[in-house]
Amino acid sequence: MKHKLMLGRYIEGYSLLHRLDPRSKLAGMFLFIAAVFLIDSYITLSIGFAFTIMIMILSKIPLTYYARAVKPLLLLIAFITLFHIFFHSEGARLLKAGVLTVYSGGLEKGIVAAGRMTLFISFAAVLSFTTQPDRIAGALSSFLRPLQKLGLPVDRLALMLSLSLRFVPTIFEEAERIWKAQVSRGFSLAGQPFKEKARRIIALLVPVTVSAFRRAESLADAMEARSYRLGAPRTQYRQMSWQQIDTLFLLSFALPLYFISLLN
Amino acid sequence: MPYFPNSDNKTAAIQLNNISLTRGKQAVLKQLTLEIPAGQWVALAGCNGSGKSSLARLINGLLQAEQGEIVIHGKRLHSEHFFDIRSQIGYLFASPDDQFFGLTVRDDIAFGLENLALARELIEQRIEHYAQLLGLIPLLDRHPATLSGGQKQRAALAAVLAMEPSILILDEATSMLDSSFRDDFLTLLTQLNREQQLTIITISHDIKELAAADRLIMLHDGTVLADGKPDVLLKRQHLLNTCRLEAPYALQLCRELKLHGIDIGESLDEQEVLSKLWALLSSKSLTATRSSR
Amino acid sequence: MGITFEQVSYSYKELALKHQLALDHINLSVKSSQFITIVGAPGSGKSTLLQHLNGLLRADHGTIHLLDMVVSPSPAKLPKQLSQRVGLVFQYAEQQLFKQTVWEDLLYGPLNFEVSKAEAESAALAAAEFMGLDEAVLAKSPYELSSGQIRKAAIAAVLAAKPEIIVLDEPTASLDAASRGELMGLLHRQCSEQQRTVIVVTHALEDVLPYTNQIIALHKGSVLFSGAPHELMLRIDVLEAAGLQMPAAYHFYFSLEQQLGLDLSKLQYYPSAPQLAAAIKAALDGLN
Repeated sequence: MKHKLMLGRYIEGYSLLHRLDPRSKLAGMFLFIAAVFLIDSYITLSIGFAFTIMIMILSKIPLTYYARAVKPLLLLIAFITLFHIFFHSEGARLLKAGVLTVYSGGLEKGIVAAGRMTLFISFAAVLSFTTQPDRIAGALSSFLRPLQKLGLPVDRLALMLSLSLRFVPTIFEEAERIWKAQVSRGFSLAGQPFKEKARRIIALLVPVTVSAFRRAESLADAMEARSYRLGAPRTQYRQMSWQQIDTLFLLSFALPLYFISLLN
Repeated sequence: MPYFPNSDNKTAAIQLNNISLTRGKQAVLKQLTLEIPAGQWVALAGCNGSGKSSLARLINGLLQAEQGEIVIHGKRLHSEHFFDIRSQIGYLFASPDDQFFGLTVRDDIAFGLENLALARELIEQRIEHYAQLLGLIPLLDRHPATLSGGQKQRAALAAVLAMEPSILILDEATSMLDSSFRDDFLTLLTQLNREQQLTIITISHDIKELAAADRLIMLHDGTVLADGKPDVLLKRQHLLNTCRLEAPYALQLCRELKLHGIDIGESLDEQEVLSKLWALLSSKSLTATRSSR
Repeated sequence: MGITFEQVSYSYKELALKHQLALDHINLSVKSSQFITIVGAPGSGKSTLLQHLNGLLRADHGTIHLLDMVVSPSPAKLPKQLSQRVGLVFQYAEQQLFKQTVWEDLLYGPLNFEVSKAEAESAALAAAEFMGLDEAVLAKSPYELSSGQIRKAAIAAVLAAKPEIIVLDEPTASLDAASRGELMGLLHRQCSEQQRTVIVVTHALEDVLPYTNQIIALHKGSVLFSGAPHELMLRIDVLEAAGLQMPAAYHFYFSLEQQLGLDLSKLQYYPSAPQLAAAIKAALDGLN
C-alpha cells in the first residue's frame, strides 16, 4: 500500500535541489505558495509554470515522475476546473450546450484554478522527491523552535513527527497483512449496506489499533532503555548547513513573486 | 543454592535483594535475591510467565519492584539515578522493528549516542567502529524497511554496544530470527564477554544459547528453581520440562543409547558425543579384529 | 488431484521503478493429504507463493491446480469457495484476532463462508477440541491468553472453516520448544487423521522433520529442490541457498553412516534419537 502513492516518496539523486539545506527548500515552498495564491490570469499562470519547470529540471528527476504524482488528483482538478467553467459568466460567450453556457472568463478561471492546483502538487513533489522525510521534519522543527519559549512543546512534536515517519509505513504493512488474513477468513465488504460495511471494518481496525498501541509501548521501553529523555539536552548527529547556494535559492523566489504580483 | 563462580574480590555488577513484583493481582516475582558478579555471563530460562523478562526489566528500571532493592555497580536503583544507570546497561529486545528508531542504520546507531549527549566526532567514531564490528558498513545508509529481521537486530546490537555499556541484557533477542543468525550472535557474545569482561544476561528458550553461558538461572512461578552450571542443569529432564525446553539431540541420543546398555555418559555437545561414539567404535573394531585372528 | 503449479510467474507491480519478478516460471507438484514443507531464504518467494494458493495474489502467467479447482490469471474468475477450501494462516496469526472472546473469533470464519449457525458452532467446537482449547479458554478474551494458547486459537479459527488444504507461514515463530513440538504434532494429525493437505513454511527444520513427506526449496523465485527430506540433506548447496543448517539428527547419521554401515531406509528416512540409538546398537553388536 505504501508504494501506491508517488507523492511523498524520496527519489535518490545528487542534483542541486538534493544538495540544498532542507530549510531553504521548505522556506522556498512557503514563498512559492504565496506566489501561487496571487496567480489569477493566464499570464501569471505561465510565469508560475515557467519557474516551476525550471526547478523541476534542476532536480534532475524525469518529468514523467511529476506527472505520476499529479495523476491521482486529476479527478479533483477536473472537478474544480469544470466548477469554475460553468459558474462564472464574465467575458465573451464561447459555447452553449443546452442549459450550460461557457464563457471565456469562466474558462480562464477554470484553467487558472487547475493550473494552481497542479503547481501546488508539483512543488510538493519537488520537495518530497529531493528531501528525505526526516530532513523535512528537521527543518520544520527548527522553524518551530522559537515557539518553544511560548510554551509550544516543540520537542514532543518533533519526536512525534520523526517516529511517525519511521513507523507509519511499518504500520501500513501490518495493516495490509491483517487485511489479507481477514480476507483469507472470508472477510468481505462487497455488496453490503454502508452500516454493515462500517461494522465489518472493525475486523481490521481492532487488530491494527491493538498492535499499534502494543508497538507504542514497546517503543517507549526501547527508547528509555537507550537513555532517551524527553526535553533533555541531546546532540544532533545530522546537521543542516546553510550554504550560499541556499540563500541564492531562496532569493530566486523573489522573481516569480515580483512578476506575478506586478501582473496581478 | 546460589552460585558464585568468581567469589574472589570481584564486585557484584547486579544485586537483587528480596525483590517482589506484582502485576495486577498476580505475583510475578516473589522475594527474589540474586547476585551477579561483574563479567559473568548469566542465562535466564523459564516458561512464559515465570518472571524472567520482568526480572530483566527491573534491572534497568523499566519496571519498579514493590519491595526490595536493586543495586547496580554499588549504586542503589532509584528513579533519580535511572539515566546514569541505564547508560551503563545495554538492553536488546526481541522485536527487531520495535527498537529501530532511525530512518537509516547510521541514524539508529546515532540515536542512543545522541541521548548520551556525546560530541559529534565521537558519535561518528563509534558508528564506524561498531558498524564494522557487526558487519554493517555496507548497510549504514539503508532504510529499515529494506532490511531483514536479522540485519535489523544486528543494527540494534551495534546501537546498544556503541553506548559502551558494562552490562548487556538480551531479552529473547534471537527468538524471532533463524538459527544462522543465532550462531554468529553467540560467537560475538563470547568474544565480548572474554575480551571486554562484559556482564551478560541472556533470556532465551534456545538450548545452545543457554549452554553457552557461565551460569544458568531457571525461574519458575516467580522464584529461582535452579541456579548453577548450564552443563549440569540442562541435563536434568524435570528442569527442562518445567521450563518448557527440549533436550538437544545429542543428549537424547546419549539417553537412548543408555537404554540399549551403551553408556557414553551424558553430553549436550554434538562434537563430544560423536567423538565418544567414534572412540567406542574404534575400540570395538579393534576387539573384533583381535578376536577374529 | 493435489496441487500443481504450471509455469507460474508473478511480479510485484510497484509504482515507477523496475518490476520485481517474485515467482519465475514455477513448476511444482504435490500430492494431497501430505505434510509439505516449503523452505527458502528471505526474498526467495515463499510468502508470494503462499498467497497464490488461496487467491490473494493472481499469477501473471501460468496455471494453478488446487484439488479440483483451476486458477488461471485474470480476467478468469477465481473458483468459488477457494478461500474456504484453502485456509491460509499468516505469521504471528494471533494478530488477526479481534473479537471479545476466543469463541466468537472461532465462529467468525465459518459464518463468513455462509454456513448455518449450528454448523458453525459444531465446527468451531471441533477445532477448539482438536487444538486443546477448553471451555475456560474459549470464554476468555484473546488478550488474556499465553503466547502458545493464542497461537493455537488463531490456528483453530482457520480450521473452524474446515479447509481441505491448510497453509501456514512460520507457525512456530517465537514459541518455546515444547509448544513448537506440540503444534507440529497437531498439524500432522490434521494430515494423518483428517486427510487434509498441510503446507508449512518454516526455517526450523527440526520441528518438521518427524512429520514432513516432501520439502520444496525456493531460491530467487524458482524451485531449487523438491523431494524427500533425506534427499535434501544430501544437497549442501540447497541447504546453503535456503539459509538452512543441517539438523543434528542428520549430522549424526551422516557422521556415523559409513563406519556403522547404517541404512537410512531402515530408519524410515528420519534418524530420530531412539531409532539411531537402536541402529547403533545393532551395528555395534554386529561388530562383536
